[in-house]
Formats: sequence, C-alpha cells, structure tokens
Amino acid sequence: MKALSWKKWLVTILLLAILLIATIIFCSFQGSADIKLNDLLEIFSNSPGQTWWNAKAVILLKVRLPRILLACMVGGALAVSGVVLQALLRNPLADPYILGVSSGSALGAIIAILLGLNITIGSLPSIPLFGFAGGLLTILFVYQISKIHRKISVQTMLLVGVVTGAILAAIIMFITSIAGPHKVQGIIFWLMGSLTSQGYPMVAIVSFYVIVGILVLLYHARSLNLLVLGEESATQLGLEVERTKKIAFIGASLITGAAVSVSGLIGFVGILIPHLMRMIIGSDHRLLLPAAALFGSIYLVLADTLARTLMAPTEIPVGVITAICGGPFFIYLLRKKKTFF
Amino acid sequence: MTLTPFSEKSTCHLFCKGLRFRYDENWVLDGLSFEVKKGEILGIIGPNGSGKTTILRILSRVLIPQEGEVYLNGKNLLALSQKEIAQVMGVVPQDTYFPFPFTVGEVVLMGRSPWLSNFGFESEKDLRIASQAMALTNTLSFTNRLIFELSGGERQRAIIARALAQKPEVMLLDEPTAHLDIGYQIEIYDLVKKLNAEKGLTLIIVAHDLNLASEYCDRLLLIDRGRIYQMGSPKEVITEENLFRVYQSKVLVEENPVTGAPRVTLLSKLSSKSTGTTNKVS
Repeated sequence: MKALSWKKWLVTILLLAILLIATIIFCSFQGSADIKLNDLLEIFSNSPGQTWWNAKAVILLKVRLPRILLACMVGGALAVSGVVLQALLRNPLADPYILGVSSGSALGAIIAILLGLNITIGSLPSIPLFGFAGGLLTILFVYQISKIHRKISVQTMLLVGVVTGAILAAIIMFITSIAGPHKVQGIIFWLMGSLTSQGYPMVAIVSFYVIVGILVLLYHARSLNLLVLGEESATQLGLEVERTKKIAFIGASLITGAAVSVSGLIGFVGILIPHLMRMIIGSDHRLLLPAAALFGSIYLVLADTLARTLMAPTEIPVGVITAICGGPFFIYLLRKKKTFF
Repeated sequence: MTLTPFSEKSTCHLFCKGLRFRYDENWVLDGLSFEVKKGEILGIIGPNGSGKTTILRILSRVLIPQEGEVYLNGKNLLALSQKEIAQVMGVVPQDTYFPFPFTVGEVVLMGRSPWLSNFGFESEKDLRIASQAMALTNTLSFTNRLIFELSGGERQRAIIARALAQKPEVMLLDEPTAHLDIGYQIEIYDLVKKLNAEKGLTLIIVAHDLNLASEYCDRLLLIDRGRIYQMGSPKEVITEENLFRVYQSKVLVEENPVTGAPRVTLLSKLSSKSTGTTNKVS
C-alpha cells in the first residue's frame, strides 16, 4: 500500500523549491534593461559608487527583486487560500475571492485612492493599509453573521460571503461612476491587479503575514483532509471541527487580505493552481498545500515577468496573463483526465 | 426495562440514560434509555423521522442532547475528547460525498486519524492496520483507484474499511445498505456478521430493511416518535401488532423457513381482499 511518506513529501517540496529559485534567478535577468549574469559578478566584485554599478544594481536589486519576491508571496498566498477554501467549503468552484475578503480590500484601497491619501503611516503607503483594513472588516462581518449557536455554518458562510462581495462590488461600481477621470484610472488599474514594486518594507510585511499564515494552515493540513469528508464524518474521525473551520477560515482570509491589499485583484491563480496541483500530486493536503504555495509562486513570477516584458515598456495587467495562459492549459488537463469530477 | 447498573459496566459498552434532544421546539428524542452490550449486534428500527439517525449522532457526539447522558465504557461522553471517542467508536455514514479525488487507500488511512498527531505521516503500523482493514472488507484491489470511481457497494465497503482502520470496539452504521441492490445488501450484512464473530466488534445498525434487521441483529430497538416502543429479540419486536402500531401499515409476519427469524411481507392497503391473514392484527 502506497502512502504519503516523509521521503516523498521532502523530495516533492525540494524539487518545487529548486524550481522556484531557478525561476526567480531567471526572471531577475529578464526585462527592458539588459542585465546579464556576469554583470551580477561585477556588481558584487566592484565597489559601489561607479555609475554603471548604480544603474544596474538599482534595477536588479531595488526594482526587479522586490517585485519578484512580492509575486512569490501573492502567488503562494492565493494558491494556498484557494486550496483551503475549496476544502472548507467542500466546493471545487471556491477561490480566494469567494467570501468577499477581496471586495473588502478593494473598497478599502479605493477609498484611499479616492481621498487622495498619499500619506504614509510609519514607512508604509496608505493604499495597502486601507486595503488590508477593508479585508479584515469584511472577514469579521462574514464570520459573525455565519455564526449560528456558536457554530459556523459553512453553507451560510458561503452565501453571506458571496452576497457581501456583491454589495461591496456595487459600492465600488458606484464610487467608480462618480469619481473624476484621473481617479477612475487609478481605481481601474488597482482593480486589474499589479505587482509594481512597493519596496522592501511592504514586501517584508506581506511576507510575514503570508508565511506565518501558510505555516499555520500547513500544520492543520491533515485536518483539512478530514473536513473534505464533511463535518459529521470529520467529527466521527476525532476532529474538533469548529476549531479547524475557524483556523482555516481566518488563515485563508488573512493571507488573501494581505495579498490583495498590495496587488489588487489578480484572478485565476487561486482556482487554477489548486486544481492543477491536485491533478498532478493528488488531494492529500499535507502535500497539496505546500506544493500549491510553491507552484503558485512560480506561476505568478513567470506571469508577471511576461506581463512586464511582452509589450515593454507598456505593461500588460498580470491578471490577463494568468488567465490567458492558465485557462486553456487547465481545460486541456480537464479533458485529458476525464475522471476528475 | 432494566438498566445495567454501573457495577456491571464491564459487559456494557454504551449506556444511555434519559436522552432528550430537539433541533428546534419539538423533541426529536423524548426520553430514551438503553444499553448496548459488548459483542452484540443491535438494530435500531422505526419509521422515517422517528429519530434513528439522531441517536447515532448523539452516540458519536456529533450532537449533544439537551437532557440525559451517554456513557461509553463507563465514562461520560462529555468528559472524553473527540479523538478519544473516535479511538473506540467508528461510524459508517449512510452516504459519503467526495468533492475531490482521493484514492481509496487515502480514504481508508484517514481512519488512522484518531491515533495520529496534527501534522505527521502514517507509520508502518498504520499502513499495516489499514491494509488489514482493506483485506477484511475485500477492498485491497482498489487501493489506488479514486473513491468516486467505485460502485455504491464497493464504496460502502471502503468506508467500512476506514471505520475498521480506527481499530474501534464499537461500530455504528447508518442504513448501510440504503442505496444498494440485494447482492450488495447481503454482502454488507454478511461482512457485518463476520466482523462481529471474528473481531468481537459491537455493532449498532440503523436499519430500514426490517427483514435484514431481523436476520442479522441479536436485539432490536423499535423507535416510535422519539421513544422506545419496544426492545428485545427480533421475535419479540417484529410482530404484526408492533409494526401496525408504529408504522401504521398492515404486514404479514411469518417464520423464515430457512433461519426461523421473523419475516415481514408488506401488504398493499389497496388490495384488502387478499389480506385475510392480517386479521389477527387486533
């Protein structure tokens, strides 16, 4: 009888991690400014201060690298959030945006854009902070409404989340319709999603939320397997179901909120990667969850690199790339593995 | 009815006292007391909506009754953790829906959950126990197939293997043959009997098929609107009068010529002429 072993787990995760590092290195050298690998050697062997050192080092280390790291975090967060919400809601159609957290974040960010808040709080720009706050408020609202007799009803949560998202989307549409043309452009750009560099402090904060969130969820990965069986069976197999649901919901929502508040609404990663990884490595969340995190990172780094290089110097919204490249491939896989659903 | 005193709890696995439960204002269970002895097969029968499944949910602490207590091996169920309960009790639900493609092997291994820590992998011992459970239920050959590729009867056997992998002392089954044809029905009940005889497993079966319940169970619990109507051997419980009172249906009960157990024949309410023999229902 075959079963998931430490060995298989470690080998798969290591392979994906190596692939991710290779992708990061490869994509760091892609872009309109021509930077080669041996430039890197010179950057590190020569002392700073020379003009060419400045230009290339700044592009590589201050523009591209933080952007790539942000793409890693956002891609990983969206993929894991998709995996967790699909298990929690027992629904293959679930994605990170289904419970309205994204709409909350979007509304927060848009309010910041509308108010023209260019202030920074600490060293952080206001738009992501407002976005994160909007996401948090939405999580609290959906969570409180879904609680019946001190238990979360997953069905209620799904409906409340979808409706809350729709209400917030209507408010966003209203704001967009009355905002001035200059601000409308900013709003639409934000909504389309972008990983434009926000600097290392922002990357660090997002990484903190995403990495801690993913580790907590990973610790409960086997419990997610049981949740897929339904709450009654999970209870009868010894799971404290309410506690697990709470952790899954809050964990997935927090990493989604963190990702959305810095990158806007990047579609498709959160639904494509979970299904893709399930087809390749199976449904056991102990392996599926970390594999989806790593592969989500790889996928979004590649997509973002295409987005900024294909029509340089014009940038294509990264959501366009994630959907156009991923969609057909996904449909092909579904057709090939007909037994999937 | 006599209740087992606690001094004799060694022979009594499960003991329920004065269970009352309601989802909203109406009591679904209204004062149930019964015991389940070690190594017996107890069948719970009764009309739809009489509270049979609710009993199983309370015994496995999916639901907590508003009044009354359940004792498992002499310990109050509320004092045990969900894990501790699952180490003693395995449950086979009526139907399981799998939204994602798990293999049969993965599903059976989930039965080891009550014995595993939060993040960890199954040991050689866990694999051995799961393999034994699959061998007993004749499901080893589908280990690597996806659970939703199996037929109803095969899937039910895999779910029974999952419950067996828990290494339980008691197994609860909720209408295990509800959607199965007669071949699979016999197969599942023979398997249940085998587990009882060979492994000494105590079994509690919610049964909708009175004939199967009568054939295979040592004792029956006839539930009527949340109360025990009668409890006893199949011969005592399966009578035309009892079934008429509880199900409001005229039936013919005679002796199965092969096994001697009571056998129920349903009679249509339309063809009153042909139901002369049921006149003994008073």
